[in-house]
Amino acid sequence: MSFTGKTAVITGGGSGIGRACALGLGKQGARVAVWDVNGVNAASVADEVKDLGVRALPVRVDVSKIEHIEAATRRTLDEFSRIDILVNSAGIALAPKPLLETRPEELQRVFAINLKGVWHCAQFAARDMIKRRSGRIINIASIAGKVPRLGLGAYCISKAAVIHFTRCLALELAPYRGITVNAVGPGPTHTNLRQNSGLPETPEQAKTRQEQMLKGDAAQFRLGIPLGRIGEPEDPAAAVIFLASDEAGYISGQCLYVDGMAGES
Amino acid sequence: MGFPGKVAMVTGAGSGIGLATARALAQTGVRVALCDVNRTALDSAATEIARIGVTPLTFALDVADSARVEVVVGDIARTCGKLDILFNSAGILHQPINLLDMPDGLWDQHWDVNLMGTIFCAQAAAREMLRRQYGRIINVASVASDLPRLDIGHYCVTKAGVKMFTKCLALELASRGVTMNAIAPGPTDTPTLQGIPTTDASLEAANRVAVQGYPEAFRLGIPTGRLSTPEDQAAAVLFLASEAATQITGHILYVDGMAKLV
Repeated sequence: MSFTGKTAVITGGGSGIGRACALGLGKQGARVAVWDVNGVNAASVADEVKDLGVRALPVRVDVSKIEHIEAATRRTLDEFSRIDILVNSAGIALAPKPLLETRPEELQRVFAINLKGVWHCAQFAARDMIKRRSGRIINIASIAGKVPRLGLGAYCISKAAVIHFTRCLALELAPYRGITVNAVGPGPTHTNLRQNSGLPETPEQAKTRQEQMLKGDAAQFRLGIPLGRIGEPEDPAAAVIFLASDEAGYISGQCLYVDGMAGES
Repeated sequence: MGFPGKVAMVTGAGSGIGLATARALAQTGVRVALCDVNRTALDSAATEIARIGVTPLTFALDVADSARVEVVVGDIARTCGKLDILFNSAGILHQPINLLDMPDGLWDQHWDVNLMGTIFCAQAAAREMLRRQYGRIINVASVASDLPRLDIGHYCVTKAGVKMFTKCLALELASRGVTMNAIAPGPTDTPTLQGIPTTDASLEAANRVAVQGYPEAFRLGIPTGRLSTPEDQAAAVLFLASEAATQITGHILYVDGMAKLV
């Protein structure tokens, strides 16, 4: 499994799962364009990738703005002349609240980033991949796209939409033979998703929340994680890297859950 | 994705996906124990694997024979000191026939090999793996686990059983270092595929039907436009067997060129 000579674009590459994907692919020889809404984080991960001995390009991108995506695509193609792999890792969470109380602008924001951002990035990248009839698109979904969660309705719905978008785009691109589209569905994972979404929590709150995810919480209709630990960003990244490889060329339209079985229990 | 020092047991290793996976494991340095009910296929697989550089163990094994499965797992553990990986690839698809006319013997044969054989091997291997709190078990489900097919109901039902068995045993083992997953191949270019029914007897026609679809038989085609190769499946098995997949368990990984569609 080598990625020498390939170019990967990682949205949300500045932290968490996106960062782990950038480093993992870089380690195996890929050139990496690190896209992130936080320019400082993008630059810092790009530096980490360069330290691995491969080229990297940090780009500040808000994936909810199509003109940002267009400009970032052009910038990436100017630098690397091709996009072989797109990992759609940019995403946000909403402050927990019932669906009935979720305001239109909150829904619009979560869909603009979690769904439309994925959609638009995939469109731009796929246009380049189609020229070579070769490419890999991997979307970061979530077990929340399969299992309903109280208070996280908008997030759940956006991730379910990503999973079905993955299938629809995979079917549409299947005739090109060499282009696959898949999703990875992480379970609870140690990332800064909440902080990055403007939802800070105290260490005690974080501990309680993680304990609930690990052990389950009957009052929330939530079961625990049978494998007994919360995932690290490298866990879903490993699945992303596998799906991005040449060897995974017959896998398309799938969502690979990396959840310690949290979604099945 | 290296596997230095690992020991793998592969059932159905004499042909098809089992052979491709045994070959791929051996190429990464895994010590492989080849098991197959067909002695001739087993010997020829062993000769091929030996050429890669690691001499494999070989066992004539009918996976439906639970006592024999225990003996083989015990022999592997004793000879190699441990068992890290089980790839449960043994499976059959014989004699397509509609369910109402299906003879009991045919049912029993598929039940015994595809489902009971998978269960017996997983149980025996898991017991061995639990002693070291480490293991990777990969079963073979199928798109036929989810999609009803005319004239291969025996195969569909047993593969659906494999899928749920995978999830149930994975849950039971989850906190103890042993993961269990399944690959779910779509139509794959192996000897087993020859059992798929068609209006035309030729294999080429059968393959064309699988790729292009056959709406009269309520069968869709393969969006990626080709049959799977055994190597496609082996790549997924190696990933699930690797250290990288440590947080994945109870998952059914479809390697089907989107043949299942959903």
